[in-house]
Amino acid sequence: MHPDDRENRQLSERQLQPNTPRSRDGVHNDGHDDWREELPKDRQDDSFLYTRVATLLDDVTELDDGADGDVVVDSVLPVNMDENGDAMAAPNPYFSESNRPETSGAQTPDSSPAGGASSGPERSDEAGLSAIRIRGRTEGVSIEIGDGLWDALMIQLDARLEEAAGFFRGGQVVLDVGARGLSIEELHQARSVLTLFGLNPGMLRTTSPLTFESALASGMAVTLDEGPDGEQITAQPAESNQDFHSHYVYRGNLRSGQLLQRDESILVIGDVNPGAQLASNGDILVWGRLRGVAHAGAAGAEDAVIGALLFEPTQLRIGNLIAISPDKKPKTGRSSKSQTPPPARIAYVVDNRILVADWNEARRGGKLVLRR
Amino acid sequence: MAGTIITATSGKGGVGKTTTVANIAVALALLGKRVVTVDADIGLRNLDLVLGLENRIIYDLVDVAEGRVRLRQALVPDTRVGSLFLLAAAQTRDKSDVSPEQMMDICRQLREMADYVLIDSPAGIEHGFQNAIAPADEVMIVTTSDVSALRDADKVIYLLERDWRRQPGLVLNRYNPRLVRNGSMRDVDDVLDILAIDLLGVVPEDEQIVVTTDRGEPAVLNKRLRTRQAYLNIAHRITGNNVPLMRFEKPGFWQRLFGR
Repeated sequence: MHPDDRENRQLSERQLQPNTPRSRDGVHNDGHDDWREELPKDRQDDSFLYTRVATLLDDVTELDDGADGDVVVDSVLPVNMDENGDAMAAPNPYFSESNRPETSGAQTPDSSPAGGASSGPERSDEAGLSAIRIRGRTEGVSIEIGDGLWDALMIQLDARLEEAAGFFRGGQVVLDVGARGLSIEELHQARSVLTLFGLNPGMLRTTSPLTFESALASGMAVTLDEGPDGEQITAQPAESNQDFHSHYVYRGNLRSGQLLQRDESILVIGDVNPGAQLASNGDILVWGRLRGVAHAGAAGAEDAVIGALLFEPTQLRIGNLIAISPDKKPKTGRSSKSQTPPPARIAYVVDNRILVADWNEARRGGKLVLRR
Repeated sequence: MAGTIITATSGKGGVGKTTTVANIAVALALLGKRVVTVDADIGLRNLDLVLGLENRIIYDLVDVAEGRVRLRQALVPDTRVGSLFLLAAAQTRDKSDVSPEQMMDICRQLREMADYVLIDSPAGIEHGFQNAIAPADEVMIVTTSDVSALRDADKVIYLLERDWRRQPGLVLNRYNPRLVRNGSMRDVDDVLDILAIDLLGVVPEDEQIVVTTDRGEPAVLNKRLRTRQAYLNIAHRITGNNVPLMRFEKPGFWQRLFGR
């Protein structure tokens, strides 16, 4: 985010003490109290001081019989690896298979055909051979996918593109799936096959409202053809729907239990209440109050940022780093309502730590950059 | 040695299950026991708030049930008392995302790690309740002494005896000795008369509970509160120590407390 800041020693006083692995036989009650005491007095109640939760797993071994080996807590807790290096089933809790209705391993083309729970009429693989039509056009490539098992079709698509040996490379693809009702995973599958061959899945055509919804949810541009009448609904979720630098705009409040998870960056125009979760592979910006959990760069990008007008998240995650809010006594009652609104804040990663700063100071030309 | 799994349930909502679980869990931990609390109220989780651990949750019960993380990774250590851990519920999922078998499997593992596993059941007698009861060795009924809470508690006891063959223990919550003395509230004996189960403890009503719960600081950690002793007593009884019931009859105490 701010490459120039990396050398900036001034930053360190705003950051937390690095989490050093603690002895597990020590007294348990440490965590926050420790770092708070080490900070200068005037910093102690600043809400922009966040700490990473490297200690979360630390104490768990106290409970265990120890048979399973030691928990080694690194200075950074990777979200997607456990301490024995066992790769976990998913890169992170959001983009894992949770919250997705049909999950049976549809990501890999060679997985069991049972994966396509919502795929169209099931026929033999042979019938599907002619089901894929690839045509080059002036504006790009048109791929029509007919009937057949989705998984098998994806394998064929893979083979067909292989044969074409890069002929279409770099082209924009219009993907026509007809009346087939596709889930987000199945669309994802198609997209990954296309990207594998350097194709850009630019537009999806369908007559199925279900597919239309899935495409919207996965951030694809999509056209819904409503039968012979020729009525067309086109939805372009963002300027460019492929990269993470486009935005998904959510208007309204996110309440406890709501999860908004997108490939693109998320812009919420509204409040994010405690208990709500945001996850994006890009940035997260909240024009309103951020009080829930926000995970930017959920696929691992640590250059992602999280910003909000009122910055009070329960927990922040950027890439594989996690930070929690300082355990402040919640203020209640009338006395706590301050007259001046707090400044907008932004969180980003500097030297493997999540730093939260007033936007006023973090922006180019702000104090954090100038004081060198 | 394998631990004991205790589920707190009530039928009716709002009688103080979560507060009771949080406080008894902390009390047991204060007695030196290894305790894991499990929030079975998937979709409407609260136990993390009452324990003040919300911002430390990374993985939850559903992550464990679906095999994304190992159980130990999902346990959130308490920040004040050693040997107390929380397995939080998922807020973005719902009750049907976990089956009783998965709960039993998770609790079987927890039993090996802890002396006591306390499960906070959701209100009601549906799926979430079944999940919470399935793994239980003991069941703790939390109720207040008002007529609707007692009616629901009675129904739950009936279900427990019919379907699960469990004899639950009773925690009578928000007991107001002043009202009992002037005859407008059922006393302990009246309640036991109706429910006819063993009494685990009586927790007196205290408006400070609202404050401590809201801050995420369990009342049992606050030495000034009378409820602290009530929770500690229940913890003692759970560990097998026979401690006498608190006495509420002394009028002087309440007068001192309220200053009138």
